[in-house]
Amino acid sequence: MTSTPLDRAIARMDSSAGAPADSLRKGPPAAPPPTDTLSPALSYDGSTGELFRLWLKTTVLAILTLGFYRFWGRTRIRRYLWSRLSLLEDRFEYDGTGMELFVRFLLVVAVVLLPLGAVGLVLQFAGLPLPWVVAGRYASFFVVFFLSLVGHYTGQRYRLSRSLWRGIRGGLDGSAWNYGFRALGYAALGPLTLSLIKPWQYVGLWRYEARYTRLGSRYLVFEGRGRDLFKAWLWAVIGGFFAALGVMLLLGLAVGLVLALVFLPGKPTVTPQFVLTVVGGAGVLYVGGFLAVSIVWLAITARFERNWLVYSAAGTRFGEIRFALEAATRDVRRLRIGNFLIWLVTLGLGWPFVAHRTLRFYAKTLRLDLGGIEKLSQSEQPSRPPASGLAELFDTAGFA
Amino acid sequence: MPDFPATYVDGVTAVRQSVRASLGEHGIALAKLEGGYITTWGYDEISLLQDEGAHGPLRLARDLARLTIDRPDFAEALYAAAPHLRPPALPGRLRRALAAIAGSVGAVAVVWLGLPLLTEGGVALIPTAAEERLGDREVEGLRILGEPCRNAAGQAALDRLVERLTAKVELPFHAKVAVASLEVVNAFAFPGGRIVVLRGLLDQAKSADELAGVLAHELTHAWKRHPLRHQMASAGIGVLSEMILGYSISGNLGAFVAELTYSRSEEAEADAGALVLLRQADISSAGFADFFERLNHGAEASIPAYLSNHPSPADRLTAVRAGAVEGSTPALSPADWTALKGICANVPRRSPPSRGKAP
Repeated sequence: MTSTPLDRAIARMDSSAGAPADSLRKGPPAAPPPTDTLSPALSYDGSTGELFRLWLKTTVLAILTLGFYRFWGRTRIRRYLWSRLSLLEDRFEYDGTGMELFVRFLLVVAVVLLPLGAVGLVLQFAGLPLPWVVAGRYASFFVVFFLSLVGHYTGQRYRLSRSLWRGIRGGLDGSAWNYGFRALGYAALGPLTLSLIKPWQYVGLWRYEARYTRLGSRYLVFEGRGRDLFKAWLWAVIGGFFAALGVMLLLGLAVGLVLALVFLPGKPTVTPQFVLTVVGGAGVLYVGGFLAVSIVWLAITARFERNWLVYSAAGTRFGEIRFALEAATRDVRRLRIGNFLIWLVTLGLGWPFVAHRTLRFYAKTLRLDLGGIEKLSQSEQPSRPPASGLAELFDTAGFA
Repeated sequence: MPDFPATYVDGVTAVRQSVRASLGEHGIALAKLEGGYITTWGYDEISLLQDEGAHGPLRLARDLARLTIDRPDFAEALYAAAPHLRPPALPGRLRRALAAIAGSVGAVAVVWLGLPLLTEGGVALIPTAAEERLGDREVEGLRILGEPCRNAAGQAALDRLVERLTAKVELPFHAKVAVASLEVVNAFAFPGGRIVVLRGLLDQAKSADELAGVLAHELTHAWKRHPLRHQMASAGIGVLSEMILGYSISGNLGAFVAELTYSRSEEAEADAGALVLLRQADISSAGFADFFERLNHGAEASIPAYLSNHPSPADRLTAVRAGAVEGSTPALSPADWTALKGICANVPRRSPPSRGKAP
């Protein structure tokens, strides 16, 4: 019992609790590494320059076509990213089309966006009693939030169903609504439990998604328990709390300093320059505060996220194939902070580079034991479920 | 028959085989390295898998089966045998891109041109009572215009002026005019005949006739439902841009511009309507024209505020002068005008936020 991959992963997570962050990368020196049969069979050779040229081309076209080309651009970029990822020297393949994304998007416009827009117009112009208007706005927001959770799953389903390796097609079964309700439940429990539910949220949602994720006819299986990750998360929350206090203190000091500089020399002269200075200062503080809080938070939770990656890889099986992920906390930290900054600076338009960095990270850190991979066979399931317009609209969480 | 080494997966299992591919007249024949025929792919059944970025080995697909040939001379041999597989050259791709751009711009243009029709339909759907509630809500929400000025005698005088202006016109709603304490020269019409006059404008007016002109102008904006139409159009642009672009950043920008300023034709309509109201109320339009002229040529720094949402080309003044109407009595009695001038007496002065003066 003590030698399941999961227990070893837990042991490794715990053993490195007080050790330098990158101790895992070197591996425990005494015992032979338990990952001896696992090899880095995944590789990624995408080039940032090449991706940038493709991104520039597709973005310019998307602008010239007033946004319509973005479906085709997204498809081309996915095709690039997929084709640069290979397993056992065979490249993955993405065979989705821009047209199916576009058609599906039109459908979602008709079924979701037009009704939502109509509701918004009615709320704005029909002169309903104010409480109704407020309730209506909250309800619309709630619907969009729920659809974003559902869209995450349908997006994953679409991407997997357009992913092939050695001609074997991937897929994701299960119900997106079911997933959406689960995700909604965890999201609701978040504030109620001061976010302590998070490990169970990760484990529960991945268990559901993994169970239905397949390549050919074979499915992933994930076994794991939220409580194994609880300690790491608790520390992240405590650290986050004190860091938030510290950031607020610093911000308060900065505000006080600015005010003192402005007011101490005497009664301020209210000139346009003064107003500009105050407004500009407030803006800088606001943006700087947001940046500081986000980066500190990402830095603090990196350890938990890295533990989660190690844990989920160790707990996931694909038939006889086992996984292990070996990454130092600082690698995860660099990945997440970098991705966040790319996202922020490009207002989300830089998603290809987020995906690029993420794929490179996984190729570098994921180890597989590929016994029996040749037994994989095509699924009997209908292979190309329709594209998901919901994902196109709402799925901002999933990469690519 | 040329012969190329290749790797092959059959689309059923993940077993990779090394094979020999030879280009025949009708298709590619695949054979095991050690000999033994596997299958033939007809040229009309196969497709070329396009790469993005640098081109790797050529990959061909027949349904889910894949063939990878890592020989630079294979592609030309294949295109020679099956010309339809050759990827389109640059001119073809450019033509397609131009067609896509033209199509997209055309589609958006059609939607854009159809927007006024949609807006008219939407405006027609809103009942008067709803429009009045909407206007009330907006006026209440606009604290940025300063404190409401509520001096009873002043408000009574203002109400009398509005009553006189609208007595002989069938307005669809019961007009409500209020004064707010911001010292900016401007007045706003909201849906449902709700009008806010700013203290700055009241202070600039030299007579009740001058104010009557501005009020008649704003009342006509409300009467013709210009504010509702603008808000409807901007909301429509928001919804549409969200549909086309997937987000409404630019939509909000467009909406902002659409909501803020009246068009020239709307201004002309409001001027013409103002003259009608003034004539029916037996008020001279000379005050309106004078005030308008002062606003147009005024040297005071804050006066352009009124022009910011009421574009005022010189020909508007000409039109107002040309359509001048005579009046027999001033718009308000001297006592009422004094009361109205003092409507903000109990409310602290509120200077515009961005135009503070040195103490």
